[in-house]
Amino acid sequence: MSLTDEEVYAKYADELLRFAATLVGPSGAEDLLSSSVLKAMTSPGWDAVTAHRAYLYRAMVNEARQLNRATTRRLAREARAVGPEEFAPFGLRTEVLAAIGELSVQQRAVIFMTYWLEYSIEEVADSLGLSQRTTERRLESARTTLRGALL
Amino acid sequence: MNADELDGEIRRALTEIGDAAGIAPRFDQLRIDELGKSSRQLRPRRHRRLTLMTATVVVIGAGLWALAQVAQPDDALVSTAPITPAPATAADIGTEPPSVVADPSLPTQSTVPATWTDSTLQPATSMSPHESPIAPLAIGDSIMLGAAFALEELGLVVEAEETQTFEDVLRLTGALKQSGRLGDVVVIGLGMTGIPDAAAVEQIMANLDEVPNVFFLTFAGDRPWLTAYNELVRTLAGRHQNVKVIDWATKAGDCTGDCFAADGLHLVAEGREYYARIVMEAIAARSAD
Repeated sequence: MSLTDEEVYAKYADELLRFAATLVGPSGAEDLLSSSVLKAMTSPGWDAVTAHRAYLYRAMVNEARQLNRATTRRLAREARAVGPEEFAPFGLRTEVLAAIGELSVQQRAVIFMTYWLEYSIEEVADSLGLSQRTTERRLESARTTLRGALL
Repeated sequence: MNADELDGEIRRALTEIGDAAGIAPRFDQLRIDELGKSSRQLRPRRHRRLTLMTATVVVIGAGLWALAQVAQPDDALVSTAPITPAPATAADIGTEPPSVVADPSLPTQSTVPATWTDSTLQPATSMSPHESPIAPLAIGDSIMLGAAFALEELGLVVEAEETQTFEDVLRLTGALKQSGRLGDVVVIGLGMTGIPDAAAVEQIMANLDEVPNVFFLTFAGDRPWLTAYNELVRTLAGRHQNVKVIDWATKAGDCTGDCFAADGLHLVAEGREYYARIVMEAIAARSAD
């Protein structure tokens, strides 16, 4: 028996929100979750989707990639308005946000799937529609960036 | 920091960021009921349920994130014009949901509502004066959407969306022309939604009349309108000096490896990179002329 949209959402919402936070930061995670889920579930092909989880992950990556530029510019304006001395977000270590923020959307997705979902390179490549070679390059470059940022 | 320590730090960072995002909203808070199955073509509304207090915290938190991203190289490849978020397609899900394909029952584009709504057509008014033309720009449907990452890797700005039609492209190119953001190269790859209206195609060409290099991809796949569509594309090159055809219908068959989803249309791993390479080779060849 197939799941209703609400059941699908309930099943994956928490992990998708976490993924969204990795892709666009905690402040934009809820918006990204909402927009990508709504977009996926109202798309013409949704009824034919059987692998809902994979579909939603992929929809979120696409959405984040498209939104990334506008989000970055908006948040940069907000940051200038607030001033750096006031950063104390969410109890997060500031270097964590800064480190993940240095990655591209695609690198963040690779990192999340590798370290949080514990996917293999092949599974990450399949999920993101990349070749395994490209996936390995993304992972390595992300690790190099994070090594410097998290030191 | 050794490899194990780095792995631990990365997992810790992901934990912190995920925890900071809080709790996912309920399904009904997504306003999916407002849209409903009968309103599939409506644009999802952005959802915000932040309180004033949390919004304040969010603004502060967002700042550091934004500062870290300002110099991010990948962002330079993304259009600064407002972009309608793209949905996932069969090609975007890799091998998992091959059952998702574009609707073959769509015989012509007149049956497909435009996906660029009026509210999204704001590039002319929302862009700052210093924003420069987008070049090269690739506009397409779900086929191109599958190759979006690969195209962006090669330096293209990609505006691809599932079921994107010539009417959508007409609106998009019109808005970009009005705002002076059309560059020297525009690539158009459509065909999933049928035969376009000839007038719409000519209007698009009118929008692109000052673009020196316009590339149209032919369509490859088992669709009733394949021959007619490709004939239309090929005739464009005869009528417009700035048009060059990228014959995807011919070249697609030369892709080796894991190129296509089960539908034979949408791209998967090697196919995405091959598609991007074909496009870039065409652009490079034109530049060399």
